[in-house]
Amino acid sequence: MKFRRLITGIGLKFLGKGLVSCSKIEKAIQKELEFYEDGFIIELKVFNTDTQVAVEKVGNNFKYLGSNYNRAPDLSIAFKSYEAALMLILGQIGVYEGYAQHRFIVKGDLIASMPFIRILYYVEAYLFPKIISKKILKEIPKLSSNKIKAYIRLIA
Amino acid sequence: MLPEYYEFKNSVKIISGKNALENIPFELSNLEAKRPLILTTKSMIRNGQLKIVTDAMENANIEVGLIFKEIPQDSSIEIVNSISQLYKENNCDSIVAIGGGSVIDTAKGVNMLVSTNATDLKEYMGLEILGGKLNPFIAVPSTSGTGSEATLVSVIADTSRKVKMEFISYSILPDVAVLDPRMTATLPSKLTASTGIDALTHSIEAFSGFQKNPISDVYALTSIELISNYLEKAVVDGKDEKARLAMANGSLMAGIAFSNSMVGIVHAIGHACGGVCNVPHGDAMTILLPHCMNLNLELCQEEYGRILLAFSGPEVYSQTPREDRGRRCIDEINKFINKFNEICGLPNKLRDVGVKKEDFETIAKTAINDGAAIVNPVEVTFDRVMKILEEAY
Repeated sequence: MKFRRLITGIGLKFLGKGLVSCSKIEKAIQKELEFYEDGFIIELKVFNTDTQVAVEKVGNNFKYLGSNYNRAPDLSIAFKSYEAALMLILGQIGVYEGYAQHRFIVKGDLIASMPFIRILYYVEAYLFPKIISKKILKEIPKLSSNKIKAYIRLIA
Repeated sequence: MLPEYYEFKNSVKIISGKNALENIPFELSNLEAKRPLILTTKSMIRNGQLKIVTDAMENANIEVGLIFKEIPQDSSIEIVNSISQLYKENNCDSIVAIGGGSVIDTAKGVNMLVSTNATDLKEYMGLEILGGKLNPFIAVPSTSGTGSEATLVSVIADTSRKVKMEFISYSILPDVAVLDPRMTATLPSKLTASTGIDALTHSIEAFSGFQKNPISDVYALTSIELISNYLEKAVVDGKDEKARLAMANGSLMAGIAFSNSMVGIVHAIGHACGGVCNVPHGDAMTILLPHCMNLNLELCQEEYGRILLAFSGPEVYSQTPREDRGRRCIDEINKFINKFNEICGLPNKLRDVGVKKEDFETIAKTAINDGAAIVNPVEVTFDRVMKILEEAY
């Protein structure tokens, strides 16, 4: 279990940083972000654990808050188990499939969760190799930048 | 084929048929409830359905805590709060909701508040946030369309913040759903038709979306068969008890199906048309269903083929080549809908229900943020919604 917890924590961190890097280069994500007020905090976590990560909307982009943040999130997406989180993080299922399979719960305004779910859809298209994206996305979205840029920003 | 993973729940006890209303006191006792709050509307009093229930309660020595009959068309947080207060003041221990979708949605909201220590419903807003067992709750639908008596969803407006709060939780499912043909006997033919098409849409979307599962499929297909066979009869002769009961069952089964498999693009756009242009929900479903099925056809050939069998019967199905069944299904549903345009004037164009072309962008932006868009087979994009609106205009 410790190993799963560790991997999930790293995976969520990777996803949080991925959200930030993709929000800086993808116009569609920036458009989706217009839905949120500045300072809107979105949390991704594993239910009933402290394995969590959050991002905040600042201007056109996301800002990475990491796993220690003081303010209560405006929207919280909690995976029901470490296994459920790993399925999404490792690209075994996409975010839409995760929703359809009840792999996570959502606390907050469900309408506000929709732009974020679409953003995750784009992030999946950027971060996963095409062979995985083709399997987990309904259709590969047109990206306004390239994957390499997303990875460079993520590592930087 | 089995999905890789699915979840399904329907814990609602269903009592359906002749004199079902008179069994409500027994069902209350079964739930160990002694003092129900009845939520209803004036039309239920006017048409006599409430009296049947209160007489039965009197006969069974069940004391009604309070009858609240001022439920508005759209459920709101203010009304939920004030009813919850009355529930407590009158020492009620259960809820009986007699009416349409808004009455049942309001009852779900009240039950969330009175069964928990919450002071603000907002705490439970979201997907599967509220757990645990709520107070006894019996739903008695007066339309055959929303399926609310068997769904895990409640939508309540927060009028001060001008937002609709959505609650999705297995805990808010009623304990009992009572289907009695007398409940819908006075429903006007046009409303019977549009609510029936709403139920049909629930089943079609539940059966063809990618959250479908083998159990909800059974409910969806049975519901489609019932609606196909009985909606016209119920519309033409509202006193036809067999048809009314069949429609009540069809609607409930559609509710169970979509409660577990979700709806799709027809509902996403339909909700948006309602929110932006006040289009009645059933009318929006009637107008949008064939256009949205066209969009999904390529990915839903097999599902629509199977729907054709339930909807049109084995003869039509077997006479149609496999590759044409999906298209034929849409054609048959189109014919079915157009028939109600002739019988009772159901609208078939968006322009006939007050939508203006300048509203399209707002509708499309709203539709893509509707939760129903997620599980639609084809990705629901702004451009695709705009195209459907143009076609349906």
